[in-house]
Amino acid sequence: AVLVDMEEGVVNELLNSPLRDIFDHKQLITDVSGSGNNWQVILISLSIGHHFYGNQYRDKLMEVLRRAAEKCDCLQSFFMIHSMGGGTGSGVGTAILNILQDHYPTVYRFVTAVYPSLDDDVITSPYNSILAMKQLTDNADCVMPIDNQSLIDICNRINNVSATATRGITKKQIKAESTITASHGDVKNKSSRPFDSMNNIVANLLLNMTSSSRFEGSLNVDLNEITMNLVPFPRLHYLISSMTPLYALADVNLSMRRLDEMFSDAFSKDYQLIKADPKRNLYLACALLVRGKVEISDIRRNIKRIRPSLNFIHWNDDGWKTGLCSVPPVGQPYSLLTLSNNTCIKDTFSDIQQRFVKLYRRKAHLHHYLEVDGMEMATFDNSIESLNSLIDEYNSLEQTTREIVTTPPRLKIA
Amino acid sequence: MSMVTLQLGQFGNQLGHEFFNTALDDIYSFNGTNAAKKKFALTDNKYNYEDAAFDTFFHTPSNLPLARAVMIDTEAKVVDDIFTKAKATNLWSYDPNCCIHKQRGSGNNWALGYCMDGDQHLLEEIMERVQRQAENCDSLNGFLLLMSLAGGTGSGLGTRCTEELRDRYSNCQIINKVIWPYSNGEVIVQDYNTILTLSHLYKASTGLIILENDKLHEICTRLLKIKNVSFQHINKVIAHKLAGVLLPSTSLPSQDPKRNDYLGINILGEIGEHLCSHADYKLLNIIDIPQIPDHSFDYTNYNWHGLLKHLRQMLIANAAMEENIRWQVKLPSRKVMSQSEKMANLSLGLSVHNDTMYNKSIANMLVIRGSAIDKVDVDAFRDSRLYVNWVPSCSALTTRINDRPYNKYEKSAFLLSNSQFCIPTINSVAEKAWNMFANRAYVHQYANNGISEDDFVESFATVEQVITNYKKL
Repeated sequence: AVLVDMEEGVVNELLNSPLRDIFDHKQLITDVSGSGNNWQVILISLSIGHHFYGNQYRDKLMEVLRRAAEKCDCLQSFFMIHSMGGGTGSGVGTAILNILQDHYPTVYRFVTAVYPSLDDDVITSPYNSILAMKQLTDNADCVMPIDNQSLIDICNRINNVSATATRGITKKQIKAESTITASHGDVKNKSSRPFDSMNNIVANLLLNMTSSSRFEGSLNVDLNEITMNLVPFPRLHYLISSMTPLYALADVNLSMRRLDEMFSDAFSKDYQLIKADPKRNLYLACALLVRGKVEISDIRRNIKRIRPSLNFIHWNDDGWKTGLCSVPPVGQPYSLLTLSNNTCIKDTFSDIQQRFVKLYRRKAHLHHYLEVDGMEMATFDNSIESLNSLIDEYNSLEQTTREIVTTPPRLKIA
Repeated sequence: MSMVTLQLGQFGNQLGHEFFNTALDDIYSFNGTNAAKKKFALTDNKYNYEDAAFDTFFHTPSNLPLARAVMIDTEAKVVDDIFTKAKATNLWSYDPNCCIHKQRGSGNNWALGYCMDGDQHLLEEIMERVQRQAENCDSLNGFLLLMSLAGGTGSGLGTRCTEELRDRYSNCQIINKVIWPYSNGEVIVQDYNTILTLSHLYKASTGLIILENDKLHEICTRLLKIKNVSFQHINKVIAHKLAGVLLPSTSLPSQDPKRNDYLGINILGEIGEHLCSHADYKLLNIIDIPQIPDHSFDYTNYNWHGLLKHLRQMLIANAAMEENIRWQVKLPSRKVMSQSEKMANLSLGLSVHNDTMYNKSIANMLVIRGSAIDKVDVDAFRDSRLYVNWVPSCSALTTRINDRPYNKYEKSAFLLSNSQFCIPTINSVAEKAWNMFANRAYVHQYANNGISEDDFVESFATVEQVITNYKKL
């Protein structure tokens, strides 16, 4: 792992935690001042991150990456985890993405990006997000967008189980330490920090995605298979994810009904890790990655059951990718990770686009960005242009369902 | 006569493991039943079934029999797992020198598998291991490749290996056992991978044995009454069919009195010669009867007449299993229709020739195993209406028998058939793939690894040709 931050606070905390031994101290890159947060003004600039720090630290970054890559027998992919609204994550993160694209073009680049929610505390987050989006669209192989609001909602849903008493479950019946927000089995000390449960959800996302690469199963799904099957066109590589079930019941009796519930929930808008309703929009492709004691017949039964309520694009009517891993996650008997390439992501993009336009029209806060060497107005224009065309692409795909589709004539053989 | 098996990709390796287990189960069982397992000792009797069966699939350089197989995969997990499992049985093992695996996987990308992810040496390595296994055989029958059509390694790398084998061992039989994926839900680009594989294999392979996951799944749920069907169950069904056809058998006494020694049989050669004699027709299917759930073995009793009658109708009506067979599908009547009858039929909207409505065969191989074999009458399978008219009737049906019961079944019959069975499925896959291709979806993933749009079009053309050829029968 390589840890990058422009200020030392967070990284130092990590080095003092029980996990300090698993990180190589030479793989940590920090600076002192931060990307613009050294006074209590909430203003973080991506341009400083991307251009200024990106260039200054370029050599060091490349060296650290090279060292990490050389230690691998066989390097298959890079996982980048950062937020879109801040300066370091989105700025330096996308600068690194460029470096990876140049120097390791055959290694897959997966990005888990946290998009700003509506009530985000960084005012310039729309600028940062749009600028970063262009980089992600051009250079990443696969992006999993997430937003904080959805994570908070999921945490609340778990905590409020007794209050809502949905499906007749009370808090007592939930197996402790089985929730996807729990830190069961981890090394930390008892006191938990504010974003811990939310971060645990994202950690579980990554674990489930790589489960087939790490454990055996009857139908393995490697990371390169995810990009192969879920990305029909190079720029449309944004995957909406959902993880079910949220917790396991203490009752050992695992009925088929609970299993089927897991599949149904995966498509509900309440379980997505970003604010989106995939059922209302068009699926381009969908992957079901199952862990635990589930067989292919269970998956097929549920696909058949759920399929009528979903819209798939006409040329990918059977667009399902399935994976079976025998080892379940810690504390649960089985789990399902759903990755969907669905046009509903364009709503998230439109959202940010509008917030961007509101600021950009007034040229608010722009001077902070333009002060930095290498940053111009054209960069902003290009970025918003890229996002606009991306949204258009999704719209035109949705358009095809409304037109009458004629299947192209087959090849005629004499 | 021995054959070398190449296990490619996750499916190929998992199936191969079940296959060798099934073969050994049969060899070790006492007279084909589970009554008593005897410790196996090689005799040099070439008329002994167990020796011949053993020699086909295993060889023993030391105490533990080694399978005549090469395990190939682009990642390590499955190969390691299968190797450990085999060794754990204490009855057999894979040759540790014949396991090849890379690290990166093929990502369900046919192009990546075919071009071996840029690794020039991989093919050389594989061929070297194959050569080693081939040299271990006293007399080499041919090669059996186990691969799937949906993934990247089985389909892509498997095709590459087949082409290479054809170059190096041009006179050998190469039979590819391919598993057709479920019509939905396995891999999204499975239709592309299927079309590319079929088109390339058609030139290099002797024959393709196609079994479909959908139909095997049905067999598991409806006939074998398995509640939670897993891939292991499906693989067991395939292994049962494959071993039933490939384990030693002799020809009918009346056909050739000299051909009664087991070791002299070249089953792959027979398949190539009788079933795949025409370059345009290489698609083979295995239907077998009966399939009994584990708990019903003691209560079932069959006679040959009933079994063969059902099997024949399964062939005619294109049924994969012996349930819900459409008995109304009939062969055309023998008498020549008069002109007035033809007109009457036309006016009623019935076709003048019944040909298109039943499954026409080019050639069949019937393998019968079990007791009371002398009472078997296979004449019904020789009916010339079942076959196209350009195949001489003596070649149309090959019969192989063995009076030793197979794998707990007192009587069982297998039909390896070259017929129109698979055309509806291939047709629908070609349709879906073409639709996807017309929208250029996923094409960039293949282009990045060397398969251009022209390659795609060429493959589509080949597959369409195959479909047309079979439809015209």
